[in-house]
Amino acid sequence: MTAIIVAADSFVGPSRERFSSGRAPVVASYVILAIVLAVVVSADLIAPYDPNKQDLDAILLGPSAAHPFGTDDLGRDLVSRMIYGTRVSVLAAGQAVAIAVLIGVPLGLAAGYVGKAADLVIMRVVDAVMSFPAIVLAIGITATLGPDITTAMTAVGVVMAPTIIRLMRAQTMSVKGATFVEAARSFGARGVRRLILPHILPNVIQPVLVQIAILMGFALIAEASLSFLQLGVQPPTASWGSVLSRAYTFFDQTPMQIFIPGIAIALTVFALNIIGDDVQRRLDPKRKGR
Amino acid sequence: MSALQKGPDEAAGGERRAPLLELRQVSVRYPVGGRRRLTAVDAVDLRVHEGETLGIIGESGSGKSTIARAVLGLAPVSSGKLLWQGEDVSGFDRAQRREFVQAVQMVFQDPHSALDPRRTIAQSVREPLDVMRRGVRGSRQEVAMQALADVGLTAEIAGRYPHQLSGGQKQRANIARALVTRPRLLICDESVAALDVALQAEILNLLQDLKVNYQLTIMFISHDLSVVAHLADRMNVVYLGQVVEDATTTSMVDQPRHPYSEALLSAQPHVNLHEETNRIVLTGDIPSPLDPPPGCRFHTRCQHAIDRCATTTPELTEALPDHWAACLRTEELYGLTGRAKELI
Amino acid sequence: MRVLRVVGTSLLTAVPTLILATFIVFFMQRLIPGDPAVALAGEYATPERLAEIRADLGLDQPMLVQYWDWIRNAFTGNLGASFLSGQPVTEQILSRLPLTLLLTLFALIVAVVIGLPTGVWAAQNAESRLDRFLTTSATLGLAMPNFWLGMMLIIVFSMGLGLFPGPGGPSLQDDPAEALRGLVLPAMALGLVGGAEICRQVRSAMIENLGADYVRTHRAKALPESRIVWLHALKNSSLPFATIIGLQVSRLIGSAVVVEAVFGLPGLGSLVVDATNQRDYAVIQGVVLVAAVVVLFTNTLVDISYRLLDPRIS
Ligand SMILES: Nc1ncnc2c1ncn2[C@@H]1O[C@H](COP(=O)(O)OP(=O)(O)OP(=O)(O)O)[C@@H](O)[C@H]1O
Ligand SMILES: [Mg+2]
Repeated sequence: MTAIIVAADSFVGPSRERFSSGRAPVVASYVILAIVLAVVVSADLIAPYDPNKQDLDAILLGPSAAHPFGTDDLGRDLVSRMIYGTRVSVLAAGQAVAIAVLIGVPLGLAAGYVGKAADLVIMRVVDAVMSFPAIVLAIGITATLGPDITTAMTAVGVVMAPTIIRLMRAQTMSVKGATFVEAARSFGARGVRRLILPHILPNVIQPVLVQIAILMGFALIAEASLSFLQLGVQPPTASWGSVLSRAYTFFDQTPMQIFIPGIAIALTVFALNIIGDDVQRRLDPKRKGR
Repeated sequence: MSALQKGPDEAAGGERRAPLLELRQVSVRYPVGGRRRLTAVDAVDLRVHEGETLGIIGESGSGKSTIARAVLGLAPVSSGKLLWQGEDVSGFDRAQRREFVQAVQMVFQDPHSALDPRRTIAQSVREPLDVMRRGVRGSRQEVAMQALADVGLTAEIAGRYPHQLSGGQKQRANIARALVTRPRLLICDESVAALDVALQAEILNLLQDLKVNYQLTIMFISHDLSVVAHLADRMNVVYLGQVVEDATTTSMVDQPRHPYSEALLSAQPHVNLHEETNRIVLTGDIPSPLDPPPGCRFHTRCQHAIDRCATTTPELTEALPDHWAACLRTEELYGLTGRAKELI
Repeated sequence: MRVLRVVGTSLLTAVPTLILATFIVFFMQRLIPGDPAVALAGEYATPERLAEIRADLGLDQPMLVQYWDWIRNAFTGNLGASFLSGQPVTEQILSRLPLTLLLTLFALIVAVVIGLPTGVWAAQNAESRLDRFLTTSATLGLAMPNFWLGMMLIIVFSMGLGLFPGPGGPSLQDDPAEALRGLVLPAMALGLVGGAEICRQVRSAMIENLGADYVRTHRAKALPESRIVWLHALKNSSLPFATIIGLQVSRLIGSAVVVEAVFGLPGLGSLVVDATNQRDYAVIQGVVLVAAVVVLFTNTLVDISYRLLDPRIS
């Protein structure tokens, strides 16, 4: 073990033993995820108001029939802002995860499959990136490039990529020596198209899929954090983080408004983690017989 | 090199054709941590002639699989030459290389792990054709199905995944995959070891049939002497990465000329029905190839070992006509026979 | 002697990483869109002023020379000056760092106090209802953004019960006692989430250990179960535990930046947030670098303890 391995998998911890959470939370988690995705898809249909429409005669209202979550300091309807904010936050998190996967999968494969110098170089850079607290590096990159949600989530994707690189590398190294890979090489299968894509990738990608659920949760929290610091989404766009940030500014007047986005984040991330554990448990080879 | 130490072909006066495949002084060394190297195969000479079945026998870890992997280019050959029909493989151009790859196929040791768990049997079996771009795409499927039929697997099984097959079916699928390219040399690495006895016989019979139908030359690797003796025309006994005895199966079984072969044979009394042999029990484990004993590698476990065995390395010499053994004391122990006798 | 060798090997792996990390920080500054001199001086700066800045920053020099100058200065503690106030960056960071480190330390203590016993407890009763309850709660705790948890704590304990000061307390230098009191809630916000994470990780490590042979041997010898769990199994989980702590430090420092903003604490977090709003790149760069150094330093400490604890590693 080296100092650097200690920083490994900062988003998951050293080993993810199988967690059994009982049936109820698992079922609830899939329901939560389904609802969130439904809101993302149908935001335009279900939002009662334009999320950016101001009504200065109705600012900082408490819950009412017309505005179940109340209104913010500019009189915007919070239900609508939460609905559109869900779309913005989930897509932003999705963007970050996609970037992490796009960087992490090829580099992890390369490090694990090619080995030697490529492995050394890639893993050194991974160690270096991991020596930064993820949020701090993301803040640094975003602050330098200029605050903007796309920039911020790209930075988050970059700081999450090492987790996937490590995972892919470890998986690839163990599959690389498998007999079926050797068999393929024996009749001349080499390279990306004949060996890596058909044989290695399908056999190493599963844990990455589990990881995606967990990274998605991390990215949602990162979006909220960066938007809270005004580095993420810019006004007037609503996201979970920006709604929370706004609500906090006026929280001595309408303290309840900070509950709404916070609960949305917590429940979604909870659901993603439970689903990650659940998928992991289903995939565990020790559990299913040959 | 004295006349006594030449290979069987030259000794036989060169009347035979060049072997289909020949290994000359091939060594495989694996780097293992630090500057240490593990010599898995040590200066091995080996010939396979067209149409014959060559058995390779030795204990676990003796380097049998590594020899096969070296032939297929899967193990790093650190010295020595590989000759295909008398030509050095390392000098092959692309076309010749392709020809060679297609002509030499292997059935791997573990039938389960040799198949990609995420591909159907049909996909796995036709893959060599895809990789080598043999024939038109449409006909590859037919070729694959034909090969599957030849090994006794139905079209229904072809659509399944490896985990849905029995051990015997998986091994048949592996054999089918090795056959689709119409190879000339089939290397079978412990092809039946993972199966139970009844299945072993089935697969062995299948291999015999395929050998005729596909006009195969077979290199059959096993640690099970009775299996090899049953199948092979000629046998090579390996110990710690070296060939210690090389003879026709009958000669080897009737009159082994190396104490190691003798010990292996004595452990299989039903192989040799002619002689009343006492079982020779090998004591101790096979030494580590990281740190092989000096002199004769077998001396640490040989009941006939003398001081000289620990210092002098024996070479393969002709102990009987076309029967070669690497033992310093072969004459003392088994009598003066073969060419050596003729020369006197 | 062994200690020296262990420290040596650990440093040997840490130093290249540190160098690469400094590269990352350095090139981060190259990400500044457009001309950095304009970005620094503002759009209305005179050409003379721009030229002065370029020369100052060595922007007219080759990249590697710039890096070399920067790293040499950084090594001697000179991280440049804030463009806005002209105050040395190192000075600003040093005045803010103690509070952030203290906050991280408190949070770590909270996290361990919560996470360790619950994790052991869950492992001890693996697959039971208690375990399900603990792990599900831990997963929920993990899911909460800690800065949001901080807001909740403010509402309850500061605004509601008035037990602890709310946002915007005095700095550590001005009124240490009051400043420490102000750290309680943010440390809780950070530590609760960290504790949830530790709970899950300790549970995993302990389950592995409780299934090990030596535990069965101890059980066969009828050693008290509590002794087996708390003494033997926990001792054998100390290596993964060191890893967990190493991870937490990195995590907590990152989260502290955001939590400080919620509580208006004058730590590194608010420094970098202010710097961001004012485009004070030198400060941003400095804070990111210092954060990495702190993490690498803790990781190296963890690594050293790792190697000293594990007799197999020489
Ligand atoms: N990739 C490798 N790296 C290092 N050592 C290896 C490697 N492959 C094989 N070896 C070593 O080479 C020696 C010969 O191995 P090999 O697999 O050829 O033996 P074998 O005769 O086929 O044994 P078995 O009957 O168990 O299959 C063994 O000591 C083995 O540990
Ligand atoms: Mg083998």
